[in-house]
Amino acid sequence: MTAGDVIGGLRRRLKIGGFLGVIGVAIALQFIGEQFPFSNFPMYAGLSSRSEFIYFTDVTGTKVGTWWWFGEGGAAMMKVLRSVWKKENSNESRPYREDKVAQKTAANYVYDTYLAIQPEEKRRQIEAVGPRLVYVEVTVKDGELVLTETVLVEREPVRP
Amino acid sequence: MIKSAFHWLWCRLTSLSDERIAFAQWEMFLMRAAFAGLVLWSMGKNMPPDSQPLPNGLCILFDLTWLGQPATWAQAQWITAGFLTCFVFGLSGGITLLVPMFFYVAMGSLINSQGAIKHHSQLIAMTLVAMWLSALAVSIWRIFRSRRFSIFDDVGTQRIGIQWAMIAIAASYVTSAFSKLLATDGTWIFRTPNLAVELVKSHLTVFHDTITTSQVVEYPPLAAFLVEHVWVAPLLFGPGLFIELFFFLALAGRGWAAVFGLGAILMHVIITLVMKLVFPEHEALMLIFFVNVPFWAVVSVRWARGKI
Repeated sequence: MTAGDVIGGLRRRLKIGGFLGVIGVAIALQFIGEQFPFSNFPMYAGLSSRSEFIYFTDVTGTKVGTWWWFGEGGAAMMKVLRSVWKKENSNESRPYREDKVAQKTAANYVYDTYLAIQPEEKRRQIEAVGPRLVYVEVTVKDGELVLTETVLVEREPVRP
Repeated sequence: MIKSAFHWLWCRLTSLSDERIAFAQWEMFLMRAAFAGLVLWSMGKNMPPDSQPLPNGLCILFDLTWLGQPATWAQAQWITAGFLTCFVFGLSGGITLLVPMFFYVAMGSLINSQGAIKHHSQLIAMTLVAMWLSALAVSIWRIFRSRRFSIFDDVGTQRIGIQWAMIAIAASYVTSAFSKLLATDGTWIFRTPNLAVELVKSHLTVFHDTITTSQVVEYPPLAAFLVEHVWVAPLLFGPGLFIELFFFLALAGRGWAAVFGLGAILMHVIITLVMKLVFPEHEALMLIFFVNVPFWAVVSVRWARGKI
């Protein structure tokens, strides 16, 4: 008995072809959602008229490369910030964008967490400049793009 | 004329077959070799973190933080390379893919357990799962039916493995289209002008991630253009939705696979140019399993020599 016979038998019994297999797995992925290795790939699915990201500056407002500081991009850190807020406020129904206090708490937690995993020397360098975490909302209002910035983390420079 | 064109298209579509493609053994060898290389390259460029604050995937079931030690991860890559070499040379995928699949899924689970879900490695992981499952299913079925077990996968088993891999990849694109349509009640195309805000976000995020001097922020001109001319975005991004939604047709034969594979690569290239988001793993999987460059190269050479 060859593998072809075996699968031919399975196929006849289960009536699963390529097309049906794809649709079946696609539906299953919708139910499983984001559990690695599975995903329903929701990137740009909702297409809301607002988006958000974060960046860092020093105490003077000079922008500092997020990647150079933390070895991670601002997009991923923004996702972590959202996840932390949702985890800490799972009973809250209002969106975190409206809750500035919770936003600041989550942002400080994320900053401290990323700072803690940096090597000692890098950590001192970051703390010495008095870092600021700036949250930016991008929206479309009256046919124009509008950027709103809010400082969520403000730390005074720590002299070594 | 339009009516006859639709009739022709309808006849073509209704006569499509989703029968398994009869890949030759040399094609499947090259596919396995390229896929093994892709898995190792992807593992090499990622370093799983040694924490799982917000567990996802396998991390919900197990503490996998031990894999985040640099020495352990280096060993994991060597072990994976050994198993994948056996897989490339035809040893049963049910045995040889188990360890690579575990390490790869563990790596992705750890990366996605930091609070941010990333989508670079799911497709490779799902392909590994699909190929492992197919080989295992055939082996178990064969043991129950004929009390035989072979350490090598025969041609039929290998073809099933490739087909299941293609099904997993195609399903990812189709489910991505489902997500878009479900999240927008089917109006995704009409909301594409809102991609302008995502465009600004992705450009400015890359800018702020890598800024080294006092560079001046440059807003992507396309974003403002999309907001001002709302009909452009559906034309630019709409075809991508159709490629994703109808990706199951890539299972209809070599030609369809190549067309959808190239279509998906083009879609990713446009996303890279517009959004600055790169998905080399996805493009490589398209080239390996759908575009199948070696096959078309051979066909072209034969055609040039007049043998077809």
